[in-house]
Amino acid sequence: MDKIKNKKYDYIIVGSGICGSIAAYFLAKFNKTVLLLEAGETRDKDRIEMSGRYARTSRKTPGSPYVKENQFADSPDFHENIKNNNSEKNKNFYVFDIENNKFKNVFKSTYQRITGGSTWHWLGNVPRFIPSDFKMNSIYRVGKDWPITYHDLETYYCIAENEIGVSGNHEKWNKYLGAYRSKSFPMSEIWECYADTLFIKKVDGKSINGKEIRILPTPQARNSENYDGRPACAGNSSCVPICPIQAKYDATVHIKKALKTGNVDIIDNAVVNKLIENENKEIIALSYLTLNNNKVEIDTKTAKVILAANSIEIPRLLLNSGIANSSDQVGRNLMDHAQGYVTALTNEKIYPFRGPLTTSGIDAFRDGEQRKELSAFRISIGNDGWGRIKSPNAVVRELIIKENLLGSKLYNAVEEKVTRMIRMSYSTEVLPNKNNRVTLSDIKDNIGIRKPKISFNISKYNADAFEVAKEVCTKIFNEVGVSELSTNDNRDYSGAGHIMGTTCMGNDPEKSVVNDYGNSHDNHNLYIIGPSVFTTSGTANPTLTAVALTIRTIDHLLNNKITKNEV
Amino acid sequence: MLSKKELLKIFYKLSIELVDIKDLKLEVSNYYFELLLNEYGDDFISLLNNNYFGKKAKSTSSERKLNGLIIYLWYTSEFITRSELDSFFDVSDDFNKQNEFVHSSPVPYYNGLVWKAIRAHPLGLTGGYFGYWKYKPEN
Amino acid sequence: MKYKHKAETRSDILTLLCEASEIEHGLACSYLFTAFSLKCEVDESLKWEQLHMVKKWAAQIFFVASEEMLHLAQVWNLLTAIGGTPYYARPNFPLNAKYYHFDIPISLNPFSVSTMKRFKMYELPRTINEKDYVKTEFGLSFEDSYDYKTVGDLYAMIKEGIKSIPEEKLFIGDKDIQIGSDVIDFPDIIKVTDRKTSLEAIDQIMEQGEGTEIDEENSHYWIFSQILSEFEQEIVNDNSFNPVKNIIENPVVFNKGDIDINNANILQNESAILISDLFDDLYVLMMQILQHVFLTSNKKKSRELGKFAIHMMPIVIKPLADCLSKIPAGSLYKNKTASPSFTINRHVQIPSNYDIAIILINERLAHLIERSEFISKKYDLPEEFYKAIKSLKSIKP
Ligand SMILES: Cc1cc2nc3c(=O)[nH]c(=O)nc-3n(C[C@H](O)[C@H](O)[C@H](O)COP(=O)(O)OP(=O)(O)OC[C@H]3O[C@@H](n4cnc5c(N)ncnc54)[C@H](O)[C@@H]3O)c2cc1C
Ligand code: SF4
Repeated sequence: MDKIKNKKYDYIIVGSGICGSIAAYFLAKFNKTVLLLEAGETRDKDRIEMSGRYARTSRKTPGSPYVKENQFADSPDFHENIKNNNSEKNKNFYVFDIENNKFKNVFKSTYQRITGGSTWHWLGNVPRFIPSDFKMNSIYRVGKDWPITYHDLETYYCIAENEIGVSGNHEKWNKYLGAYRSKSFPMSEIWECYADTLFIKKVDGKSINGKEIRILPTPQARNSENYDGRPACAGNSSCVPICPIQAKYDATVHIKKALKTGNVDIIDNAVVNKLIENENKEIIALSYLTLNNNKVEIDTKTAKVILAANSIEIPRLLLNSGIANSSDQVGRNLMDHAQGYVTALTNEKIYPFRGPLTTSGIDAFRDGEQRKELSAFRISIGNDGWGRIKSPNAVVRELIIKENLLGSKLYNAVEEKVTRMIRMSYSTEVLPNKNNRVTLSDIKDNIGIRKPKISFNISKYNADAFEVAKEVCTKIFNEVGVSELSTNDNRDYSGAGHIMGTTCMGNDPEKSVVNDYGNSHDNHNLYIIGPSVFTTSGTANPTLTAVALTIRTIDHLLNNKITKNEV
Repeated sequence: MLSKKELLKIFYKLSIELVDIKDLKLEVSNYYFELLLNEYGDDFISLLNNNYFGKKAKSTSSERKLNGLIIYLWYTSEFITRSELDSFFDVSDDFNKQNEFVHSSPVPYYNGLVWKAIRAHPLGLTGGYFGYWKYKPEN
Repeated sequence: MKYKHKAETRSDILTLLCEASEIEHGLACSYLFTAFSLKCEVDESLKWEQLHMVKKWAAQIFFVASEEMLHLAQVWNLLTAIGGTPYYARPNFPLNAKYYHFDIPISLNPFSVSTMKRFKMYELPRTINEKDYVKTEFGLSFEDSYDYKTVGDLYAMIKEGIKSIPEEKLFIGDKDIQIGSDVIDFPDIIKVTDRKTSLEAIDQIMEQGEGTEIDEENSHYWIFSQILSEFEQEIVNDNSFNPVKNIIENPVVFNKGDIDINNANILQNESAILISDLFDDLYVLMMQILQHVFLTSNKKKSRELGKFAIHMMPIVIKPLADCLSKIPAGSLYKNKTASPSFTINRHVQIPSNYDIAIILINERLAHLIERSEFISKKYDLPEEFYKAIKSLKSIKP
């Protein structure tokens, strides 16, 4: 440890999630020395045990495999599962500013603190953003324009897909919604689930609300063949919260690769709590807390510091340090995808809960003139019954207590119902808004760091889109042939776990935190990577774009060695 | 007084009767027996006794409830504790399990009947091989 | 071809492609058999952690088997591209020792250390000498008398042959009958219409088998190596670990002249014989239908037929194999249970004319369903049997 502490590194990366570990890997591959500081614990070897914990517990949440006694670095994901959190002060991981919230729900998206970060529990859907997502203001007069375009990122999307291992259908996606692809996916698509085949038969090619419906195989960070030494997906159907066989990508893949270069050291259980700058706005040191609440300080004078600790923890750290915030934008523009759903029972049995939790989506509504008035949306077709709305267990309970069923009658009734349960979910784009923000609460967490306080509200832009999305989903369901259609109350939306935007990028140092390479406008040796740098949120799951941006940043730092090497 | 061995047998038989499935796993049955005994003590014993001595199992409301939660247990491996009982049986309510209950092994969950009934597999334990989900279930 | 070391004519290439079809097909069955032999049910005497591992192995072996099926389909596209027809015949199991150039013949064995070593041998990268491998792993040595030693070598010869014949002369097949992923559930299948696509198709087969330098850790060879080392480790951790069903190896229904009878186990139990025979006939019907699909230019209707045939695999063939593993093999075999023999019985090729084909297929299917009903009535069988038959009736060609 002391050896590490006194060693001089070219780069110090805070956070070993997908962005931090891919950054570490590329830097190390091109002979830079890297120290990776990670708040969570390294638990690669526990994969099967953790899958077992998920099976053992009665509360199946994205965090349930990972719960451990005396968790050191707390996170929303762990917090939800720990016992004795009933005191008002400690009930939630986040502190909420709910005074002005007209919606029923507070911000619910979570993340993980463990070596490898939130990709342990992510679903792994990785569509790209589309060109118009980067130009919301010039095309639709809402939101902001990014300082870069789709074109600037396209090469990096290809590299990212290759690194992560994405399965997809090149022909179907190339040029769709204007997004050209210069390379095909490294693996062919994940096969669609049985329900999708019904959707394809009944609705593919039809026109609904003026758009041609295409049931497209969602690009996924899930293997359709053996890739990178990891097996093909075998349909364990538990991608969220854990893939027992690592057919789904998680960032431990790149941590392993990074360590293999010999140029990377990693310290886990290290919660970075402060960055220190000198009068030249150079980050000269940082400190972190370790297991016994020891504080360790590291000299960063000759290094570049890269923050990769996610969209809540990065602003939390910066605000706690009073750094990089001359724009007053740190923590602002918190974004997520606001989601709702429509559920139904299909006339034909579709046998859900077999295979990945979703394999196809409808992307036709992700762009169009309506974006001036209301949000675009992406629809995903579930393969998990009614998802979080009603589990198979809940169906069993209902049949027992309401219908008094038992024996073979119960068995048949469960089959009859659950094998027809289907949901479509829609994700809408939350526009950047300065009042949606992360600040610091006066309440401290278990290791004495001020908790993140969240103010988050969605606007009419989303609520109006919910109406249209519901209408579209209903029409699609009617084509498929269903009964018992039901949707959520519009005030009752859910988050997607897609936390974005809290250190946004831009050309103007007065209106943004970092430039297009993630370099802090204030501190020249400070870089930020991850979805927190997004200018707007689009409707695609964010992580592929975050990784493409990360690789672009690192390529820049390496004088384009990555892209040159590619050629 | 029936011996524990006898009670275990009665519980196994009762379980089979309640869910009408013959190949319930004995190991899981014995485990559930201990859980129920711990939590429901005399009520549970008396349910087994009544069952053994031929009294109609569904006679009292508390026995009906116990039967219900035994069925639920075999289907889902979710264990309903005494404090949750009322809310579990409240028809007007969406039951949200508040207390986390963690089994000592994943085996009860893997044997959950619900997966069989819906012709899937326990989430987290593969249904076979790449692509099987494109087709109708094999079972 | 054994007298020649180079493919020089169309006929040479067709012969080699038929040999490749046989091998791919044989390997697919052999791998399937082994995957079926693994204990994959929650009920079977494994610790839950071990169950996870065994299920992963089974999934991996199934996956490799499915890639062999893809290779077979790919070879069929190659065959029809140069004027041949799809070829599904192959010698029955267990093969006579010297049928192919492998030093150890393809056979049907339950999962074991030596089975996995054998699988590795079939997928050996060309950088490893097969003779050396067989000597170190099995302690056997053989004379070297053949023109190719690994499947990779065979494909290399085919490639050379294709390159040596002028393109316009070689690719005379009807382009319209090439099968793509729109018809069959192999997203990676390549339509072969010229030299370029034919070489691409062969390269893909070779890469998936033995891998390339940059991609070797995803090759079949590597997958089998990985499974083997995990297995060997787990035996050390737990000496009672037994992930294998107690089934017989190399089962056969009848003694046919072409097999190596010394290594065969003739099923004795009547119900096992009938079900095994039914399994074989259904499986052959599936192959016949697929062959027809690769032969016909009636895309739309053949698409439906292709779907039907592929659907048989997971919902009829696999459950029947599971069913067999629950039925005693016969008194000679003590407590052991039966297993599928994958025997190919003599039968005609289904013609390319759809209207005729569908009559043949429906008649045959009706007979097989009738036979299955007879069997269900006569015996009390594991539930897998009834489910398989119910599933068979639920899909229509
Ligand atoms: C249930 C769920 C499903 C999701 N599904 C998808 C999906 O399908 N597709 C998609 O694109 N996205 C999905 N996401 C979002 C995705 O998980 C995140 O976008 C992605 O993981 C972010 O990567 P990151 O590297 O920026 O951050 P993280 O993965 O969160 O990594 C940050 C790392 O930093 C560490 N860290 C935090 N604070 C500190 C500190 N102070 N000091 C040191 N280290 C620190 C953390 O421990 C962690 O390891 C999902 C999220 C959830 C919750
Ligand atoms: S479906 Fe299962 S095997 Fe496939 S990625 Fe998800 S968890 Fe892993």
